[in-house]
Amino acid sequence: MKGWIVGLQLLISGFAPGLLMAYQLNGLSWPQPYTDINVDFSLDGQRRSDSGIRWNDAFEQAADQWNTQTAFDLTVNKNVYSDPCEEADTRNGSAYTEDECGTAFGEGVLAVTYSYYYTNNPDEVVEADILFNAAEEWDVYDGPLRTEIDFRRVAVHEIGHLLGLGHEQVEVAIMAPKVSSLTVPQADDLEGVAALYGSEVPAPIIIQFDDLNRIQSTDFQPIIQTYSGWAISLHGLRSLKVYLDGDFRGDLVQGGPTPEVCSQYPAYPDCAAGGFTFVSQFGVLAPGTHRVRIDAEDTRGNTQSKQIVFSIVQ
Amino acid sequence: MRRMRLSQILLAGFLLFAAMAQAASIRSFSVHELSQNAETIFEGRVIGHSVEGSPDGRMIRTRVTFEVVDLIKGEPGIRTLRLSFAGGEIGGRGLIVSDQLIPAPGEQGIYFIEDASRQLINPILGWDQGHFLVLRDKLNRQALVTTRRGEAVYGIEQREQISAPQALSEGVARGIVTTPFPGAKAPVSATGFKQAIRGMIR
Repeated sequence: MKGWIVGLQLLISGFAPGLLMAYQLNGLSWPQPYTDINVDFSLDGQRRSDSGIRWNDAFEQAADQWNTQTAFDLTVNKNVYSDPCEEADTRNGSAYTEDECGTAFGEGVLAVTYSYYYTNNPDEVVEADILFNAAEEWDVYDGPLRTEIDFRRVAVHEIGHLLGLGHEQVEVAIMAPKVSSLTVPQADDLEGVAALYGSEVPAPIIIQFDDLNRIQSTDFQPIIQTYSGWAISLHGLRSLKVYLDGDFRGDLVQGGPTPEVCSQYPAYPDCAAGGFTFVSQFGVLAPGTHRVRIDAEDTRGNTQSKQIVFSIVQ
Repeated sequence: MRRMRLSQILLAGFLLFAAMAQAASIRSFSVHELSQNAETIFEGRVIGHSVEGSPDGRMIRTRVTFEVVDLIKGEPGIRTLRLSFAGGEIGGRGLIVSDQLIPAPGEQGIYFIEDASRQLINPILGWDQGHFLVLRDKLNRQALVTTRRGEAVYGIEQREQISAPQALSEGVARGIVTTPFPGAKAPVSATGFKQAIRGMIR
């Protein structure tokens, strides 16, 4: 009898937590390291918080905290409304709601994540929705906690659940059950996502174009040649520019069909239409080494360059 | 040998609880607040489970029937109580709500119910914070109280525990002591726990 009590005391006192691993998983994960979520936040008719930051933008910033540091990519479709009370449709959504389709939040419940799965594949999420309680007082801010709840750090926490993380009781983590001055995922959180989806962080932009080494020349003829390639982005390209030896030579238009790229990079929304073509009209180039560079920038300010060096031999 | 097996079973049980721990964002409650704000508080045992889906297939709810063993607060004369929790499996589909652990068949515990007449995501006030388990030590015929996560309760602070309004739940109500302290080296019995709660209600 004494042994059973001692065993119980050891297990349920401070001794037992030391046996726990770090990050906790909630038992569900996505079959691929990406998904998207429709968000259309409005609180009391306002699309901006008191701090002036749009709720939709704050949610996207929360998603980016995971996107930029893990192999998972959560694309946020802003201003796209998904009725949370509509029949299960495998579309992920997040919004402020007064209740969940007739089910009240209950006292003190700020936000919840619903994860749906099929029972013949119970480890795999097919839809997830994050619901924020519209009856609470929210704002968006960094730093010490105020009376209002900081929407963005709660969103970072709930997105962690959407990815498959559970509560972390031991290590310092955004997935700790207590909201604190932490606003971004910590090392332990990132290790948890890496355990689910791998550790390779996808590049926000990928550029590929034909090898220009073939324009290596031994004559002085003007070099006019058509080149093609593709550029894809997780968040949509804002610009695609060509430079020769550092001088701007023109803008490229992305949009040509590239279905083959999707088979390799399915997480990139523009993978089926990432193609571009350009004609080099660089004139007579002096003998020596030259550089053609393509610069891409996406809608979030991420940049990527692809440079090819070629030589003109006299 | 018997003790060894028992310890192993307890260890496995504890780790299972830990692995299943998830989280929604719930405000922190003190045990005083739980006692004052709960409509019904009772010690009970789960005697029935049924799952139903909404006609559109969207919502899945699990209805849990409790046998009321000891009513601490609420309408006198309640013998059974039926509570509905979001989540469950039906028709080939499943729904998990973060931090929602639906009381399992056979579970015995002490439950702080927010409002049994309203359909809530989780009818237990403060979710994990208002959900305690009663474990029976058959060798010495004593019932002990643990948190929902399996931490033994060593004491209940009688003074109100104030916290900042934005503090969120850590899974255990403020004022619930889960580490031994001088004068309380053994977990609280279920009888002692209920006496303390009754004292707070008065």
